[in-house]
Amino acid sequence: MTSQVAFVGDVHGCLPALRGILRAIDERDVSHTVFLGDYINKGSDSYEVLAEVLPLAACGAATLLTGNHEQAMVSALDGRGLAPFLKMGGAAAIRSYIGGNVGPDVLTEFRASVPLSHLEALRSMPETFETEDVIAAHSSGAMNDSRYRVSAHVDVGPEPVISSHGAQIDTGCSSASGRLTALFWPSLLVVQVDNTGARV
Amino acid sequence: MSQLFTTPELDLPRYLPGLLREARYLLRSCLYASAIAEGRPCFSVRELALRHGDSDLSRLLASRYVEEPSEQDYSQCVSRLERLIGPLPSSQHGSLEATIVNEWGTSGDLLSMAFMALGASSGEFDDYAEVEKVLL
Repeated sequence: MTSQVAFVGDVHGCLPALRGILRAIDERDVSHTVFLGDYINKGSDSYEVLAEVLPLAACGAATLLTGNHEQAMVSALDGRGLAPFLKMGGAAAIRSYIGGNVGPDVLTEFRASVPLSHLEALRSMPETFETEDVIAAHSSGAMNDSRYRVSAHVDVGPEPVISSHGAQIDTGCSSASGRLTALFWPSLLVVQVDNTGARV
Repeated sequence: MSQLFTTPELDLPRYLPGLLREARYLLRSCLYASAIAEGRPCFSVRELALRHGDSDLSRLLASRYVEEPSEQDYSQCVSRLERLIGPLPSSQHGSLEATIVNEWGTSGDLLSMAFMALGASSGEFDDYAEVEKVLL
């Protein structure tokens, strides 16, 4: 079997789904895994999800692309206002990092709870992953290219949208009846798990 | 939800426009409810201002309130609200932002009102919001 690249859609704070999809990827001949961003918010495990994927990137087994939720988190931590992050559901990530309820000064507590390793990783996440014949980014808007385009960001429902020129693989992980999708390149085979990590 | 108005020192510097809008909304709603309870329903702000002998009420609650949000107008609304319903309950969380974080995942009106008080700030991520419900 030819070694493949696995692309994984938005995890959104769902650790059981992440672990389920990693088990499914481990069963295949995969040379590299590309996560398409949005690791945080919605689900209750934002901190745990990042803690799980960061070592994969550190050892070279995975590339962690940035998503709009990570960019908003960095923006909030950098002092450019907490409101935009809260509006997109940042409370879930803040609760995950702090480990429960917060006091009045949310930003100070949040800053103190985010490990430096997480912050550095969030700041250094690339926007795209590119090979000779495929390009991937969190949002399809970031790609204007003739190569095969893989994106996430927009929840397309329970099934990924796969065509001859590209694929959209955000299948609503962490939302009710949502799934986490892995797309294998170049075979374009798909594996999905539900929010408990069980194979769909 | 009036507890959102009890931590102004932390919240007004960041969220005055949204909090003023909600203070006006609650004051108007309480005046309507009060008029109904008295057996003289009235939904005219001008008429209510006359009844209460409070000429500035018309300006504060004008449907076309176009003034720059001010802390003075906010205080005016909150003090009138307290005269109608009594002392406001203290915030359980200490700030608007903490209310949103600590109430996240509940389906209460407090979270919805706190969320809306964040207002429509301008910024690169403002095209996106997770809203569970909208109170009209």
